[in-house]
Parts: sequence; C-alpha cells; structure tokens
Amino acid sequence: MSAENKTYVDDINRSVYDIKDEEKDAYRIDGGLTEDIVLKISEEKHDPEWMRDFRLKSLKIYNESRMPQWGPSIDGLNMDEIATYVRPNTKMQASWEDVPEDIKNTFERLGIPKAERESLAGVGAQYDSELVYHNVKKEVEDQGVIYTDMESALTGEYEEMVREHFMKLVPPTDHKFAALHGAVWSGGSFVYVPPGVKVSIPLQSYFRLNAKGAGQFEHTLIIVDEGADLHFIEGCSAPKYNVANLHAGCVELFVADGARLRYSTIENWSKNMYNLNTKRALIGKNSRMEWVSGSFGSHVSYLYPMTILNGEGSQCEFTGITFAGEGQNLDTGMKIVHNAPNTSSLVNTRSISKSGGCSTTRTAITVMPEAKGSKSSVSCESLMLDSISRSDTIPAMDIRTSQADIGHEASIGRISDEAVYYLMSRGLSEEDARATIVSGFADQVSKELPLEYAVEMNNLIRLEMKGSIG
Amino acid sequence: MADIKVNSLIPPTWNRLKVNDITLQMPDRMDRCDISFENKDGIKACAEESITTETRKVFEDLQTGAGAEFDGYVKSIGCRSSYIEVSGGKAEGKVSFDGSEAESCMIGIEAKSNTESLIYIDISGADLQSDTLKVLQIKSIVRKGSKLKIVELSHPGDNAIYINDLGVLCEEDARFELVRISLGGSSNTESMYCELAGNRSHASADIGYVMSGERNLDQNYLIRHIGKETTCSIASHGALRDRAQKTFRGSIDFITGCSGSQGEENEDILLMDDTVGNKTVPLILCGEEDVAGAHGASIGRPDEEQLYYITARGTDIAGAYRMLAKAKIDSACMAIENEEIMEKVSAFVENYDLFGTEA
Repeated sequence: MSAENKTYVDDINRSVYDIKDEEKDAYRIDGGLTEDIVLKISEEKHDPEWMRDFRLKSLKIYNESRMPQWGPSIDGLNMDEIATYVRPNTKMQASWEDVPEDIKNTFERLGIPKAERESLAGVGAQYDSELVYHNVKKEVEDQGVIYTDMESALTGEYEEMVREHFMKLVPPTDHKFAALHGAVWSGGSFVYVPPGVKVSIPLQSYFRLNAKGAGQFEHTLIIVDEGADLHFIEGCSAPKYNVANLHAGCVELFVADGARLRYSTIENWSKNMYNLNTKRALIGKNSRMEWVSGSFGSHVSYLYPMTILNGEGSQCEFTGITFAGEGQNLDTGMKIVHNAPNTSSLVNTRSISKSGGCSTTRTAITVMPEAKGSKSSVSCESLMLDSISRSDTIPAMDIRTSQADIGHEASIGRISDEAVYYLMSRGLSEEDARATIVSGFADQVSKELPLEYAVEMNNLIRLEMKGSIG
Repeated sequence: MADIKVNSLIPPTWNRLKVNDITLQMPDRMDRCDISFENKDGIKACAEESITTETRKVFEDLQTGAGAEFDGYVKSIGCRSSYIEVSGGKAEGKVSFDGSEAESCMIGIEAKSNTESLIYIDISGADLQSDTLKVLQIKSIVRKGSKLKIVELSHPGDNAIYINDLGVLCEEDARFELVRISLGGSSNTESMYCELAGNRSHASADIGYVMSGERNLDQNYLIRHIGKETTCSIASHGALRDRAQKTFRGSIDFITGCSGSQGEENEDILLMDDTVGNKTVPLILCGEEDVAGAHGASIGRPDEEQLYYITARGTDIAGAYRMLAKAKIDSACMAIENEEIMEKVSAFVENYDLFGTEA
C-alpha cells in the first residue's frame, strides 16, 4: 500500500490520567538515597526493628549491585533526583467521604469508587507513598479474608506472617531494583485467604503516583491458602511530568496446594515513568496461577512476572499485551520455572509497536530435572504499525530433562493489506478495518479481563487506532 | 593463552541464563591446515596477491558468527587464509586436522556472478587421547545473481575442541545455502553470520547434529536482512544423549529498509536421556514494518508410540534410538539436494558410531 494511503493514528488520549493535584501539605523526603533517608522512612513507617535492619541491609546490597547490562537504557534515571517517600496529608480512611477532596476526585475520575460499589469485594487506593483508602466488604471479611495495608499488617497481629514471607520470594539480592525496593518500600497491600475460601468477586489495589520526580515502591503480599480462590486486580497511573518518576514495586504471591490465584494488571503509567517492577509467584501442588497483563504506559519498562511451579500438577497461564508508542521502550515478558513433575504452562503474549515505540518480548522457560512429565507452550505475536518502531522477541528455553514437551512459536508482521481490503470490501472504512484487526489481535487478552478493564483496554486501543487518516 | 568471547547473543538477555556468550581459551599460535580439493570443476585456488583490493577489504571486514573478538584474534595471531574462486560446478574438499595441538584452516570463497556452485567439505580429525584445538573459518562473498551451496560434514575427532565459524555476504539476487552436519568433537562451537545486503538475496542454514557422552555444542546463527525482499530460513535438527549439553542461538534481524523480507527459523530437538541439557534462544529482531518473521521450537523426548513401532519390527531399543537420531541428520541432509553428495553423507553417517562407546 503506498505511503499516501497509509493510515496515521493519534497518540493515546491520556487526559483523564494526566490530572495533577497540588502537593500541598504533603511530607516529601529529599531526593537521593542515603542511610539517613532510609532511616527517616523507617521512622515514618513505625517499622519494627527487624524491618529497619532489613532496609539498611538492602541499601548496602543496592550500593554494591550493578545496573543491568541488558535491556533498555535507564540512563535518564538519576536516583539523586528521586524523592523516595512522599506522604499526602491524610491518614488511611475506610470511607471515601473522609478522603481529602482533591485526592478523592482524582480517584473518582479514574472510576475507582464506582468500580468498588459495582463489582469489587475490596479496594486499596495508594496515593504517592501511602494508602489513602482501604476497605473490604463485610461478607468477605466474614469469610476470614484479610485485606489490609502492609503497614497495619507489619505492625499488628499479622507481623509474624509478614515476616515469614516478606521478600523471601524476591530477595534484595535478586537484582539492584529489588534491593532498592527493600530499602525504601512503602504502602501496598497484604492479603490472606483462608483454606477453602473462594472470594467470588475481585479485590483491587490502585496505585496513583501524583508527585513530580518521586518514586513509588509499594509491596503487595498475597497468601492464598489451601484450596482457596482469589482474583486480584491491580491498576496504576500517573500524570506526565518533564522529569523522571520511578516505580519499583514488588509483588509476592504464595499459592498453596489446590489453590487458585488470578492476578490482573492494567498498567498505564505516564511516559516519564521508569517502571522497574518485580512480580513473582510460588505455587504448590495442583494449584493454578493466572496472570493477565496489559502494559500501555511508562517511558521504560522492565516487567517480567515470574512463576515457580513448585508442586506436582501445578499450572500457570500467562496472557499479556504490550503497546509501545512514541517515546516508549517497553521490555516485558515472563519467566516460568517448572520445578515439580507434571506441571504445565501456557503463555500467550501480544505486542504492538507504533510511532517509534520499542517493544521487546523477553521470556524464559526453565524445566528442572525434577519436572518430569511437564509441558509448556509459548506463543508470542508482534504487530508493527510502521517502520520507525521496533519489535524484538527474545525467548529462552533451558530444558534439563528429556521427559518434558516444550513448544514455542513467535511471529512478527504488519497488518495484512489483504485483510484490510477484505474488510473494506464489506463496507468498513480503512480506519475501522485497521482498528478491527488490531482489536482482534488484542482480543485474547481483553477477554481474560473483567468487563470494566476489558472495556478500558479496548478503549485505549481504539483511541490509538481511530486517528486521522494521513 | 587469551580468553576470547565468542557466539555473543545480540542483544543480550538475563545473565543468569548463561546464554549470552561463551569464553574460549585460545593459544598464541596455531599451525596452518589447508583444504585439498578433488573433483573441482569450476573452482580455482587463488594466490593471495591476485585478490583485488576491494575483495580483500570485503573479506577482512566480513563479520562472522563467532563475533568480532574472535575474528580479531585470528587476525592478530597471523592465521592466513586460502582463497578460492568458484564459477559454477561442484567440488569436494577435505580438511584433515592432523593432530597438532592447535590448527586452523581459513578459507575465503568468492562465488562469481551468475554462477551456481556446490562445495562439499569433509572435516575430519584423528581420535586422540588428549584435547586438541581445531579451527575452521570460512568467509564467503556471493556475488550478484550467483548461488553457492556449502555442505559441511564435521567429525573432528573425539577429543577435538572444534570451532567452525562462517561469515557470508550476499549481493543482489544471490543465494547462499549451508548444510552443516556436526558429529563428534568434545567441545564444539559453531556459528554463522550472513548479511543479506543485496535486494532479493537469500540465505538458509540446515543444521543436523547428534551429541552424546560429555560432548557439548554451542551454536550461534545470525542472519541480517538489509536489502529489500530478502528471505532466509534456519532449520536445526538434533539429538542429545547421555550428558550432552547444547545451546542454540538463532537470530533473524530485520534492519529498517528491508521491506518485503521474510525470515523463519525452526528447531526440532530430541532429548534422549534425562541427563542432557538443552538451551534454545531463537530471536527475531525487527526494525521494519513490512516484513514477516516466524520461529518455532519443538523440544522433547522420543515418542513412545514411535519407539514401540520400531522395536515391534525387530530392532532393539538401542537401534531404535540410533534410527531416531539418524533421522535428525537425514532431515538436514534433505537440503543438500545433490544425490551424489547426499549418498556420501548418508553412507558416512550410517557407518559412524553416533553415540560413541556409551550406545
């Protein structure tokens, strides 16, 4: 198709996400990373002694670790200019009416209270470094489900449970930004689902980073006990600034024997954000882990949810989509370790690149000698919408037993002219034809999301595709 | 001795997977080993002085799959190349590593424009008590409109530390095909880099191997699409037995501007024992919208029904495993297309002890 007939598309309309609240009366720590700053954060958080020591050890590991030698450049990130702790002038509330007006309005525009009323079992809303709202429906509490903020869990009756699990799955030695997280983490949620309990509607955490030049380092710790079932949804956004912001969160998921956890994320950080997030799940016998991941924002992303299939018969399914637009370099994917017999994994990733965006799909499947009878199937598809963008697929398979069946396929291409012609011959405009094809490309991911999030994701895609024809 | 990094993955991935590259200890000097040809219609050995300045520069600058550090190393220790001009026809060459501690055979091949040539190279080495280093490096320029097929049968000896390195430049409408069969060796490093510089050029690599015992095989295949409407395929078929270890890196790189290009790669591996180790890293790198790239990998054990079928017809289990391993070699050999050479390779493999003393 000749250049003059090509369809050019607008960038995503992010105005609803770009609302900036004034940082009035907020407590903001100085930029940089020193022992004094870490101790100040620990004091603000009322840490027990073991957590304070943990933070200091993590800082030491951070200082001794080197930057990753692979992946997109993060040269634009200067830790001396990042404020690692910004506390809004409010305590955590259990009612939206008690949340300060400006913060409440921001979450209203993002649809969080509405989603809570209509379709969620509980919500945690984090604003900069602290939770400003946390609530869980009584009927879920009555089932024995614990859904609270990390600080309350750490300093209250669940301290021992937190201590037993905190950064055991993602230790500070894992990589430099895990160490950073260990030193300055703040906020996040603790969830415990007792044995046999099925939480029929999802819990959600939403992370909003409002402060300019700040970092968000929330910690999410979820324990799903034997035979239990939970769907947890995570959302995030930030307004765009002309300086770097940093997100180095950590998610640790423990799924016991026979349990099931679905973890869904729509990531929509602004394009000044460095998103260096670590998510890991350890799952037991006959358990199931489902990841649904949509990555649309950030300037640079390093994001590879990892699952360790540690019990016989355990299963993991990963469905993800990444959309890299102008000014974005999104390095996403997943890692799976088969560490027990008869485990299985199914991976389906899609990526779209446009307007100079770079998308890298980076995966690793490891099958240990113990994982006899295991199966894995990985499918990675990439769509390039122009020749100024990039799309790279970097999969790796490390197989250490003969008694495993592993299949991998990947493809890259463009929107087929024949498919566009076919749809246009049936009455669609070229714009609608291309939008339909791209929506179809993303369909396998959107159908795994709850309806509201699927709608949000499809809207983001369609906003992208329905632009002016050039 | 010098530590030389070879077979680098570009771009690299997670360090803890240990697939980004390998480091080889290389000596300060190597003895020269020459290639001898029989039945050499249409090929001509060239004196180094007769190579034009332009061609010499292309050879010198030509990247190989082992990488710039290795190429720099072989130049620095003064390894000299033989130069061959091919103008159509078929030739059968032999590289016989004679057992010196470290030997190298460097060959520059220029396929003249609008010719079609097939070169079969048998690479052998004696089975010795101790490790010896054997290096084969081929650099090839495939001129406009020509077709060059290189068939390599490598059996460098049980204790060989063997490096088989290749770099190719394809001009407009040129076609390069590699069929590489790898047997034996204790530590094998094989690589290929092909630059599809000219429009409508094509490259393919059909690879077959059987590794057993304590053998290891480290592979790096990179085909870079630069011209428009270029095509490539990489197909690797192999079998691993005992404690053999293998790492395969296969990269298809679409550079901005190579519109209309297509590339595909496939790996099909049979893991015959629980003690083998297999790493596969198939990359597709893309900076151009109007291309189509695909890769697939299938890794697993011998099919039980297939084994039952074979043994039910009188073959013992060892024979059945041998049959399945040979089938991998045969899959790569299909790409030879020349019946005479196919029969030669097949006959050799038929009589070769694929699994060594541990069969």
